[in-house]
Amino acid sequence: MNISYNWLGSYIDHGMDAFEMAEQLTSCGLEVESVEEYDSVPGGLKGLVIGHVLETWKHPDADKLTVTKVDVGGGQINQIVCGAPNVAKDQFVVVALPGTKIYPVNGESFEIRKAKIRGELSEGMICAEDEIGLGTSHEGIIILTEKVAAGTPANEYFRLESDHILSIGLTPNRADAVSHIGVARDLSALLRTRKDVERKVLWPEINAFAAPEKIPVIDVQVKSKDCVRYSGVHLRNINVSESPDWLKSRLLSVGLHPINNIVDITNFVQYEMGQPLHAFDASKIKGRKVVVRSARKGEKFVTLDEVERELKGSELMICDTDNGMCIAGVFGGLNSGVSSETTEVFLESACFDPVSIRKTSKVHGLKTDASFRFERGTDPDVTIAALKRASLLIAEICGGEVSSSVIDIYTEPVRFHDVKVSLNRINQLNGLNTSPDKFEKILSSLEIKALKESTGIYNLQVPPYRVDVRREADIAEEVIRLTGYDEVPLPERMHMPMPAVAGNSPDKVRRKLLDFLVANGFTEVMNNSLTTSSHSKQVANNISIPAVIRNPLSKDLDILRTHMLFPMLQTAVYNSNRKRPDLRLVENGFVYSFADGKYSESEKTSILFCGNRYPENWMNDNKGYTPYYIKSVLNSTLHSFGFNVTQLTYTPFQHDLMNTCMQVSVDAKVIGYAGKILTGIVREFDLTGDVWYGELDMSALYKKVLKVSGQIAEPPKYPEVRRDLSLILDKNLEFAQLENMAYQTERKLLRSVNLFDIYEGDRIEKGKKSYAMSFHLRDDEKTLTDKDIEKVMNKLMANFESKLGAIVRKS
Amino acid sequence: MSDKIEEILSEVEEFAINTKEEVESFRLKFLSKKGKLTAIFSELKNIAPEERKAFGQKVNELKLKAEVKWKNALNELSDSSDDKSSDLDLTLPGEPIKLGSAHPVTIIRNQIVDIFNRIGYNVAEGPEIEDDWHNFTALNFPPEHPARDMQDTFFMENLDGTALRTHTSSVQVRVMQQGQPPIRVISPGRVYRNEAISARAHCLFHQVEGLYIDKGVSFADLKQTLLYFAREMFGENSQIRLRPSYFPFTEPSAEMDVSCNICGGEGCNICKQTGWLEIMGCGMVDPDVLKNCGIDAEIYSGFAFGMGIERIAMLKYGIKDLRLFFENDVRFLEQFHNPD
Repeated sequence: MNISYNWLGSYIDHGMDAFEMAEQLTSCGLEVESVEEYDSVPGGLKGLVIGHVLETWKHPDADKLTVTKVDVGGGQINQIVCGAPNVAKDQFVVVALPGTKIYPVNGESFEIRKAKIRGELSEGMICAEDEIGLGTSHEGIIILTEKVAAGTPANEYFRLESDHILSIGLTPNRADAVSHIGVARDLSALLRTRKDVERKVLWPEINAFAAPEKIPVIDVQVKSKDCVRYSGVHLRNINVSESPDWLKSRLLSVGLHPINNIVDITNFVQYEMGQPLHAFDASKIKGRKVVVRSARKGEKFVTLDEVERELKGSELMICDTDNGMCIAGVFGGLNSGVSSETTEVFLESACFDPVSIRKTSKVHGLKTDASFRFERGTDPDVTIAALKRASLLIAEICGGEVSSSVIDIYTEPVRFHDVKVSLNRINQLNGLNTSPDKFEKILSSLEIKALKESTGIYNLQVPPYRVDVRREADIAEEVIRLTGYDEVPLPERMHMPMPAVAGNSPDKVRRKLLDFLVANGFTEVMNNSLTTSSHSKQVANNISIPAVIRNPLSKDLDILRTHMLFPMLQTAVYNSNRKRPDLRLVENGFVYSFADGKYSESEKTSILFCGNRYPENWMNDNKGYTPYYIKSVLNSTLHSFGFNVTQLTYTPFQHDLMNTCMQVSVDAKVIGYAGKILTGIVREFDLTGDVWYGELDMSALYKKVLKVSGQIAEPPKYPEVRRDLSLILDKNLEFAQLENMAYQTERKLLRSVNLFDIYEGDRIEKGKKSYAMSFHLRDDEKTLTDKDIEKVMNKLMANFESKLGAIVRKS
Repeated sequence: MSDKIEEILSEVEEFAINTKEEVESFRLKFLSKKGKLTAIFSELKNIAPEERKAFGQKVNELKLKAEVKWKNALNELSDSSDDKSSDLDLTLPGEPIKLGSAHPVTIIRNQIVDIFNRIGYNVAEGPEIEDDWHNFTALNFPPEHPARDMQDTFFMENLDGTALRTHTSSVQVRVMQQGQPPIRVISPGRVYRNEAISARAHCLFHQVEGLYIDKGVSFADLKQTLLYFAREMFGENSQIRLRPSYFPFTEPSAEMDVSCNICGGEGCNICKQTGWLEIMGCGMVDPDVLKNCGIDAEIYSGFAFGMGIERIAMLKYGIKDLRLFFENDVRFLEQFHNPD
C-alpha cells in the first residue's frame, strides 16, 4: 500500500522527514519496503513559471508564428515567439524561461535557450501540455482559467510539490492502517509513547455537512447479515467531469488513475479514511430501491470490466428492484456506474463481513482496493464520516448538492471489545518493565478505554477499528511494538530446562550415513520431490498410487515422486550433457504414495554410479563399476554402523528396472538393494554405458542401528596362523557353501576365510573352477601347535571333498 | 679408567671414514660385540659403587658420539636408490582419490541444528503432506483469512483437506500435541509453495523451525537466543535487529535482521545498502495455538522462529540463483568439499 508523505502531513504534524518516518513506521509494525521520490510530472516543472501575455503581434516573416510580450514576474517582460494558434493577449500561460530543462511526453528532454526565430528574439517558450509532461494534448498552449500572479512557479500552481511515496508492506492483521489517517493514528501513538509528544490526528472537517430531514429518495433494504452497516446518501445536480489537478495529483502519487471527479473522490476518501465508497448513477437504480441480498445461484452479472460472471449464490450483491448493480465490496457493475451523463448519484458507505468478501474475491479472482480493505475488516464507525466527507467534496468539486437524508442501516452495532489484562503478565511475556503510567498512556493513544480494577489489572474496551486486538497477548503486542523491540533488554543469563534425551536419533544416523558416503567420494544431490507422473508409468507392476497435486505448476511437476530413481537419472543426464559423465551421487529424501485412504512418506537414501570409477589418469586402470564393487560399497557403508559380517546377507533380487540386482539384509531384515539399470531405461534418459543404482530404506536402517551392541573385543593374546588351500570345484558351487562348510567344520578355531584367486579356463576341466583360499586360525587360550593346525586343515579338506565334491590341489 | 675413555674418544674422533669398507671397520672396531665400547662397558662392574654413576654417564656419552658418527657416515655413503629422491617428479599428477561433497543445504542445515543442539534443542520431524488443521487451522490461520494468501499452497488430489506443508511450523503443532512442556525442538525439512520457479523463488525449499515452551518464557529470551544464533552463524561481531511483523501463530511477532556480514553493516549490494539482512520470522507462540495443541496458556508461554535454509546458504556463500540448489550441477556442488 502506498502512502504519500505530503498527503499524510495533512493529518498529523509529525515533524519528521520521509526517511525518519519510514524508520519509525517500520519499527512499530508498518514495514516500509521502499521510499521513492515522486514527481507527478518528470522534472517536477522546475524552472517553469506562470506568465501573463501582455501583447501579441504577427511574426513579420512567418505566417504561423506569433510574437508576444509576456510578463514573467519580478518586473521582467520577455519577448517570446509562439507557434500555437490559440495564443492571445491577456492570457495566463506556462512559460519555460531560458535555461530550463523541459521533459516532453514524447521525445527527449531538452534545454530552452534564448534564440532568434526568423529574425525575432525569443526568450523562452510558452508551453503546451505534452511539451512539459502535464498531459497529452498538443492542441495548443495551456491557457489557465484563472488570474495568477505572473512569476508564480508552475509547480506551485499545479501543486506539484515534490513528494516521497512510502510503500508499506501491510500485514494482514493491520486493517486499521489501510489509509493515510490510519497511518497517522499509529504515528501519533508512537510519538506519544516514544517521544512524549502530543500530536493529535487531524480529521478532515465535516461539520459543514447538511442533509434534508426525512427525504430518503432511495429506499434501502438490507436482507443479509453479511452487511454489517449500510449508509448512503443521494446527491443531485452533479456535473461529472475531470477532477481538479490537486485531486488528480493526490491519486496519481499513490498509484491510482484518475477517472472522473465522482470516482476520484470516492477513491480519495478511501485512501484518506480507509472506507471504500461506491457511487451509483441514481437514475439507473430501478424502482429507486437498493436491496442488499445474497446472489442467486446461477445469476449472471456483468462487471465493470465487461466480463459476464456467473454467481455462486454466496456473493453479497447490491441490487435494485430488478437486477444486481454491484458485487458488494468487491467490484462494480458495468451498467450502474457513474458516466459523463450522470447528474444524480447514490453514494454508498458500508461495512461488510470480511469472510464473505474474501470468499467472493477468491471465487471470482477479483482483487480490488475495496476488497483488500473489506476482507481485513473495516471500521463500522467510520461509514458516516466518510459519507459526509465525500459529499462535501462532491458539492465542492462537482457542483452537487445533498438531496436526501442520510440512510444508515445498522441493526446490530459492533460494540467495543472487552479484554481483561494483567500488566504483570504482559511485562512477563514481553520481557519489559512497562510502568502503569506508560501502559495507560499507550492504551489511550490507541483510543483503548482502560478501567483499572486493581493494581495491574485492567478492564479494557477496544474500539472496533482494531479488529486484531482481542486478547491479552494482542495488548502485549501493542505495548511492545509501540515501545520498540530495541528497548527489550538482553538477559545476562540463559535460563533453560534440562535438555531432553536425544539418543540415537534418525537425524544422527542420517548424518552419519551421508558423512560416510561423502567421505567415500559421493556428491550429495537434492532433487525436486515434485516430478512428472509419466516416469512411474514405466514400472510395469507398480502397485502404489502416486500422491497427486491438485493445482500443479505444470505437467512436469504433477505428482510427488514415487521413486528416487527417476529424478536421479535426470540428474545424471543433466551432468552427462555438461561433460561430466563420471558420477557417484547420493541423495537422501522421501518417496510418496497413497494407499488405504492415507498418504505415506518413506525415507530413502539412494546412490547412483555411472561412467568410470576414477577420473582419467596415468596410473590406475580406468575401470567402470562391477556388481562386486557395488556390493562393497553397501558392505562398508553398513559396516560403518557397526553391523558385522555375519549379520549381512546378499541375495539375488528381481527389480522391474534393473538386472544384476542384489538385495542386502541385516539379520534377515531387508534394508536395501542395488543393481544395474536396464539398458532400455538408460537409453530413454539419453544416457550411455552402465548405470548402477542402489537404495537403502532408512526406517529399516534406523531400527537396526538401535540394536547394534557396540561392544568391542580386546585384541587376541595368541597369534593367528594362516593356511592356504587350492580347490577345484564345480562351477555352480557358491562361495557361501564353502564358507558355511568351513565354519560348520571348525567352529572354535576358524576366525576368517578369504578367497584370493579364482581361475576358470583351459588349464582345468570344463565345468570346473579353481579357488585359492586362505583360512585364519587362532586359539584364545594358547598358541596353536603344528599338530593342532594340521588336524583342523585335514578336517576341512575331508569335508570339502566328501560333502562339496572338491578336489584339493596338492602343491 | 677415565683415561681409557679419553683415549677411545680421541680414537673415535680421529678415525677417518671415506669408503663403505671403512664404515664397516669403524663399526667392528667400536660398536660390535667385540668392539672397544662393549669392552669398556664390561669394566663397569669393577668400578667402585660411588664412582659407577659418573663413569656410566661418560661411557654413554662416548657411545652416543660413536653411533652418531657411524650413522651419518652410513647414510652419506649408502648407494641405495630407495633413499634418494633424484628421479621423483612431484609435478606429475598424483593417483586420483575422489573427494565427495555434501549439498550446501545439508551443510547449512547441520550447522543450524548443531548451533541449537548446543543449547538443548533436539531435532523433531513431521510429514510433508499435511492436513489443513496442522498446517493452517491449529496455527491460527482460520479458513477464509487473508493470512492464507501469504503462502501459495499446493493442494493434494487424493484426499480432500490435505496439502503440501507450506512451512515447518506444522511440526510445532505435532510436537506440542505429543508432549507437555518444557519443549525445545528444532525442525528442519522440505516445504512447498505454489510459486513459479525463478532465481528468487522456487516451489520447493527448506526451512528450520525452532520452538521453546516453558514457564515464564519471554520475548527477551527469544531475543537472546537469536543473538546467540546470529553470532554462531554469521560471526561473533554480528548484531541483530527485530522488527514488528505478523504471523498468525505468534503474538507479538517479529522479523529478524542480522548485520550484513559482507559489508559489516556499511551497506552493499547484498544488503541493498541497508546494512541489514532479513533472516527469519519469529515471535511468542500465540495463546490460541497453545490452546489448540492442548497446552495451558495460563501456565506456559514460549517462542518460535523459522528461517529458510537456502536463504542462509545464499548469504553465506554468495549464491545468487535459488535454482542452483536443485539443478544438481556437480560443477556447482563439488565446490562444497570442505566449506564453512
